[in-house]
Amino acid sequence: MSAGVGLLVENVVKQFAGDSGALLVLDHLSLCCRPGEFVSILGPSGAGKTTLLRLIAGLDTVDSGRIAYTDNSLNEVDPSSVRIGMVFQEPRLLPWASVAANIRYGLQDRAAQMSKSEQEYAVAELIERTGLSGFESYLPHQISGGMAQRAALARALVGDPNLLLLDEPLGSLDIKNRLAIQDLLANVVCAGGSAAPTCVMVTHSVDEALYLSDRVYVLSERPAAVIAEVDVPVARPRDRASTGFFEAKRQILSALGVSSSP
Amino acid sequence: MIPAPSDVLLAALSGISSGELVNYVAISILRVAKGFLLASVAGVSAGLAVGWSPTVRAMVDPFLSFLRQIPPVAWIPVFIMWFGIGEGSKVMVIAYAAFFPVFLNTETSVSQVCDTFLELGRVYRFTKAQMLTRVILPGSLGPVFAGLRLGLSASWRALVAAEMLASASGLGYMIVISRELVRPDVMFVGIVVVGLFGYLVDVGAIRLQRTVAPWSWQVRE
Repeated sequence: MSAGVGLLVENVVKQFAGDSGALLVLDHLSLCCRPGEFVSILGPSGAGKTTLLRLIAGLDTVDSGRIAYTDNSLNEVDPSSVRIGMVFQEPRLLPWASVAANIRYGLQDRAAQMSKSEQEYAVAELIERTGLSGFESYLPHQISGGMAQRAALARALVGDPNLLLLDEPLGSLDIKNRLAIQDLLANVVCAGGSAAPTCVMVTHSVDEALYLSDRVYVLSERPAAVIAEVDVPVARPRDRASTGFFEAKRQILSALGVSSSP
Repeated sequence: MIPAPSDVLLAALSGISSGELVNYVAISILRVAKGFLLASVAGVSAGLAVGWSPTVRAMVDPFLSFLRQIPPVAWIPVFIMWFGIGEGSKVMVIAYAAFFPVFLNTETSVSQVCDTFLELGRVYRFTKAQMLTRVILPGSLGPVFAGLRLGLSASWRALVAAEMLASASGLGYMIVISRELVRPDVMFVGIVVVGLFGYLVDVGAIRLQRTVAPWSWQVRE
């Protein structure tokens, strides 16, 4: 398992040119992740959560502020040495490649160090862990949206990333699959402390954020800034029914402006 | 005046038994095959080159856009002058007509790769070669096939026009000469056969596209 990389987002400002002038999406937003941490980002729709994730992935550039990857001692790390696995809101599987091939394309530079059979083994292992056994040779248009999203997650994990970026990855899954994949993510995170990948997940679900995260950032409406940073000090492995989530949930709900009184 | 269907049928049967109809159909099909093959090779190669290289596109695009506006039929007198009254001029008109749909579809499939896949390639660090083999080339199968189908239809239409204007054989000729001979039944045999063959070929091409690129059926059409 690859060591997670630390993430530093400092005073990031991002705007887009709109029809009626510039649209400010991120307003001096700051957050950080320690190596191996699992951080969730909660916020209203349109707040800019996807934009933030894209900036972290390097798909777009900030207008001001900075984003940097760091090591354990907070020294900046060369971005090209950071392996990123990303799950977009839509699966983005290549329509002409089989499920197994699509997953294999996530190997990145790892592929160069692996023999063909090692690659096949890595892909097969992830296919099993994401519950896609039997569908290896299916094309994306032959599987359901939920299965496609699971394949996208398998693709993100197969490369053994230092940084895992998840943009509402479980949105199109039914509850049973959602819980199963949450457990898969929890296992990926638990497996090695700071040797696990750093995960940044955008989600709408407070319960999901609580179950998986070490820390939750709550964003305001657009233009987005951080309005709350909530720790989730519950030991792993976690029980969804644990009362340890209560205080963190109360803080999150109150930050979101939702009353939590019974 | 539309001839009675029974008359058309009789004329068709007579044409088949005399061998004349079959002969004309064979001649027309051969011309389309030659012209379409020529256009496909040229169209796909040019489409790949222009789609891949912005420099090539800048050089070639304005000229091709200009040419595209000229209907194939308008070139018939020129092609007769250059290639003679024989098969060459007909095949060239057909090739000219088929070239543009094939070229345009191939070009856009290469130059306008879906943004989402470009981003995927960036995050997952696809090399340029991997972008080509994993995304661009397989991704262009569907659109190229669609272009070939459109090119085939264009071929068929250009064939009939070319044969009507500058030929002494083939289905187009048959339609034109039957007007002079005052044989509306034969004329309609020609029209029906042209439509029938065009339809059958298109159906076959759709089937082929579904086999070769099943995903593109969902996405494009």
